[in-house]
Parts: sequence; structure tokens; C-alpha cells
Amino acid sequence: MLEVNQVRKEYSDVDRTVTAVAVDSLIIQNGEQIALVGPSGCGKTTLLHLISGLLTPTTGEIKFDDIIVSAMKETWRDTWRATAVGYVFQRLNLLASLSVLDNLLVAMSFASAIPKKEQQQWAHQLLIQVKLSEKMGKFPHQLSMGEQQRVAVARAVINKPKLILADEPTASLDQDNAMLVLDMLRQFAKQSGSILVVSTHDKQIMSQFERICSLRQKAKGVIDSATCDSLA
Amino acid sequence: MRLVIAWRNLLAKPVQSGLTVLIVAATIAMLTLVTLLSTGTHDGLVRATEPFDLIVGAKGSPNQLVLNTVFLQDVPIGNVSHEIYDTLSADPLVASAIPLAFGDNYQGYTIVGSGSGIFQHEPKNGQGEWLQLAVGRPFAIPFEAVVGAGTAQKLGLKVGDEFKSVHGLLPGGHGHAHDYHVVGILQSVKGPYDQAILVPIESIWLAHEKHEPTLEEEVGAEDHAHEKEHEVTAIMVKPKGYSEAMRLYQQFQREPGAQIIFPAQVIVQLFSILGQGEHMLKMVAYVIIVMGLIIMALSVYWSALSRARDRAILRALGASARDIFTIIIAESALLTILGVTVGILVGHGIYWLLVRAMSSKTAIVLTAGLTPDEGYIIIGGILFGMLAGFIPAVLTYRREVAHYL
Repeated sequence: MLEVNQVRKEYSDVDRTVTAVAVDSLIIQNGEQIALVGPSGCGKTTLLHLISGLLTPTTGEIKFDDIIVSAMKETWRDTWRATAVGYVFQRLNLLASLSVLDNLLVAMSFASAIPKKEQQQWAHQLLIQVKLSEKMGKFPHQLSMGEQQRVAVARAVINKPKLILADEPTASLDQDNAMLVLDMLRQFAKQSGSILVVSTHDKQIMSQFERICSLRQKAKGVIDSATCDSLA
Repeated sequence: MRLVIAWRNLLAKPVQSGLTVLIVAATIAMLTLVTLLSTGTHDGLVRATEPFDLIVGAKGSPNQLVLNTVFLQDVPIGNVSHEIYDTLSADPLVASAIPLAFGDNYQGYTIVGSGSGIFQHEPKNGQGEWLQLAVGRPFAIPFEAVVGAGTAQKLGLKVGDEFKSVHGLLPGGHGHAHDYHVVGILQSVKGPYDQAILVPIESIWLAHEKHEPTLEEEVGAEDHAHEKEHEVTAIMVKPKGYSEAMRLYQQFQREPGAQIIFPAQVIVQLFSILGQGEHMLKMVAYVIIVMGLIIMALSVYWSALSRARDRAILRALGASARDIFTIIIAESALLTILGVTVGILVGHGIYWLLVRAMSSKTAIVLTAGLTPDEGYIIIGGILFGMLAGFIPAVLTYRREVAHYL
């Protein structure tokens, strides 16, 4: 179970403090799949970074399966993220210098989820599932946007994480590819009983989820506070 | 996998990696060249004097005597009486005395008249002869010649060839009538005598018996010092020991017609005279080295910094700080090791070309091979490069990963 309690992330400037995101309470049960929605700049990405442990909250607490992620030492958080979290970034963040296969192997090398001798086989199997087995030796820049997105999805689920986060995974895709990528994410999450949090502003994508969490701006143009409501 | 990532990262940015390697290589090549030239010149000069414990020659500049006798450069000061040679040969303080006569050349290569004892001369007891034959035999009768390795190579001389000597130290002088017959080729001594042609001293005396000096030659009286019959230009003296050398030195202080010198001491004095200039050159070299190291550090730093986003991605995937440090240090190490290797090779390549060029123009043979200083350059260069990569690693780690994603 993922719990976000009274979490606030602030950035201090010379003469002012900006609140990037503020969430009173968000609880997601294991196996649950939710859509995180809200206008651009309302803090969706920041919230996902906080949940994944890439950022630490200024105040509040983030718990996952009774582990207080926000209080963990950075080195432990790195290890936890490697094994427990799969993240599809908004900018994909594939490693340009590595092939499709190596992008997956790298993600596996930092976690101990898959035994070393099975890693190659599992990566091949996953690439077959995302229909990229023929392109495993290609580099990211040699792939279409849809293919790159599928590599990012495969990399996110390669360690069979308990928490899958996807930040606008369909934003730059056409309708067919968007639905394909979403189906893949949902399928993987369902198979492994993982939590899936997908941030989106696409209504068609939202409609696929039973539960939608909305981050709202309190005042137009000023992102000083946001709340999360469960619409389920 | 970390090393694979490091290597692939470098390959993914070939221009940037190539430029960094180039800058590191240029810096290291410069350092290597400066070191090799400094060490090589010093060692080359010192090594050339090793076969000469003591030299007896006409009164005059000791520097000129060393330049002429050891390095086969400059004109002889003058001649000394054969009696001095006879006296030295019989002196109980002396292990061996070898007469030398200069004044002729063949195509610019100095002809050195000497006794057959020169082929038995051992600079250090038990370490073998100084001049060893590669082909043929030592000279036995007048007008037989044994050619230095460098001379043989440059002039294409081989056993059985004949040539005529020319008077003076430069080609184009008055030719002598007698033909020299090549009977042997020396192994390289890696010194000035590679550029020599050794002949029996009697050949020099005979060649000059009928030689009528031209008006121009008469003006350069020092060139004709050898024309006086049965005189020698210099004598290589090997004393029986150090105390005998000092006693000989003292004896010669009273000798009106000759001087005795320690060539090694003359070279040391020469270095000390050149010390001020060398000091300035060293200062310039240090400035170049510091500038080179700064450029190298900036290049590696820039290279490491430009990969900050890749590192952030790796951290986001769960790479620990240790993983990131391993990758960054591996990248910097690969760049610097590659740069240092190329730099050392290029430095040696340029040095080798300079050695070749110098050996054909001067008799000073620069030493080659790895020097201890190069060891410091290699280790220092790699450590410095890795350190330069270490700084962005720390900066990347301190900054929030999310900033780069």
C-alpha cells in the first residue's frame, strides 16, 4: 500500500518560497491502478518524483508497504527504487549510448530482482511482449517515438516492481500507440499485482481508470498549493 | 556492466571523447618531449664522455678539447709532442694511453687516427671493449680504416670499399693522395664515435708528409697543428685508479706543453654554466606543463559534466552513488589512459624524429627509452584526469537527480 500523508514540496528562492506540490492524503492499495490528473504545472511530476524517492518532501511522509520512503537514507532509497519502483519518465530518459537491450540490462544490474543468469532471457522475453525483439540491438535514436515509449515501459517493468509510475506516457503518441502503451502498462501491473499511477491530461486515457486522483490549482497562475481528491 | 556503460558513453560522443583524448594526448606528448629532451641531452652528453677518463691535449680551452676529442666537433687546439705520449705509456700510474690525431675527413665524417689499442680500450674494467666490430677486423697497417656504425650507414661504406680523405674538418678541402681501405665496421656505440672513421695514426702522419698547405690553410694554423710530424692531437688516458688519476693531474700542472682534463668534470662545468639558461627553460616548461594540465583537467571535467543527465537517469534507475562514481571514474580513466598512451607514443615519436635529425647533424646522440620522469607523467596524468572527473561526480551527486530528468 502507498500512503502519501501531508506531503509538501517547497523550493526556496532568494526572496520567496514556491510550493511545487502539496497533498493532504493519498492512499493507493496494492494492485490498484489510478490516473493522476491536473493542469500543466500543478505538480504531477513532482508528486511522482516524491513517490519514487527521487525527491524528498519538505514536510510530510510517504510510506510504501510500511517503509517510510521519505525518511530513508539516500543509499537505501536508491536500492529501494531499483527494486521496488518502475518509472516511465515524461521525457523517457532512455540512455542514448546504450542499445535497447542494454537499456533493460542496465536497469536490471542495479536491482537484485532477477537472477543474473536469467537477466538476458527475461529481457528478450519482455522485448517480445512489447514487440521490439527485432530492434533490441538498435539505439534509441534509431526508433520511432512509439517504439521508444515501449522501451521505456519495458525498462520500467523489467524488475517486476511493486510500484509502477508513468508520467504522461502517452503525451507524444497517436491514439493507437497511446492505447497500446497504456494496455501494456496495465497488463504488466495486473500480472504482478503492482500499483500503477499514470499521470495524464488525456480524457480518453483517464476514462480507462476506475480511480482518478486530481491535483488542482488553488489560484490561477500561482502553484502554491494543490490537493488530491480521490474520485472513485 | 558499469565499465560497459562507461565505454559506451564515450563511444556515444565520439567528437567530444576524441577531443578530450586529443587534448590529454597533446599535453602528455609535450610533457614527454620536454622530459625526454632534457634527460636525453644530459645523458647523451654524459655518456659520450664515459670512455674518456682523462684526456691530454695541447694547452687551451678544456671545453674545446672535450668538444674536439669526445664529440668530434670544433677544431683541435693544437698538437702535443709524441714524447708526452711515450712518457704516459710508460707511466706506472697509467693503465693505458691511446693517441688520437684529427684533421682529416671523408665527406664531412671525422677521420680519427689512433693506435690499435683503441680496440682494446675498456671504459670500465670487465664491461667489455668500447669499440666492438660488427663486421671485419681492426686495422693493422697504415691506410686501413674501421668505420663507425653511423658513418657506414650514412655513406653506405662496407668492408672492401676504398675512399680518399680530405684535409680539414669539412668536406671540400684539399684531397690526400692515399686511398683508405675499409677493413671493418663498428657496432654502434650510441655516441659521437658512431660518426667517426678510425685509421692507424701512422696513416695521418704519412698522408701529411707530402701535403703542401694552401695559403688559406696557413691562416688557420690550428688546422695544421697535426702537420708537424709524429705529433698527436690528444691522448686518451686510462689511469690505474682514482688516486693515480689525481696524481697524474697534479703532474701535468707542471707540464708546459700540454694539459690534462677530466672530461666528465668539464661537462659538469658546462652544465653549470648552462644552468641559468636551463633554469629559465625549465620555468617555461613548468608553465607549459601547468597550462597543459589545466586544459586537460578542464577537458575531462567538461566531458564528465556533459554526461550529468545520463548519470541522473542511472540514479533514477536505482544506481547507487558508488555505481555512479565507478562509472565516472571509469570514463575519466579510460579517456586519460587513452590520452596518456597516445601522448607517450606521440612524444616518443617526435623525440625519435628529433634524435634522428640530430644524429645526422651533430655527434651528440640523445638517449632514448622510458625515463623515470615519464613514469611520474603517466601516473600523474592518469590520477589528475581521474581527479578532474571526480569533481563533476561530486557536483552531480549533490544536485537533486530530478533536476536533470
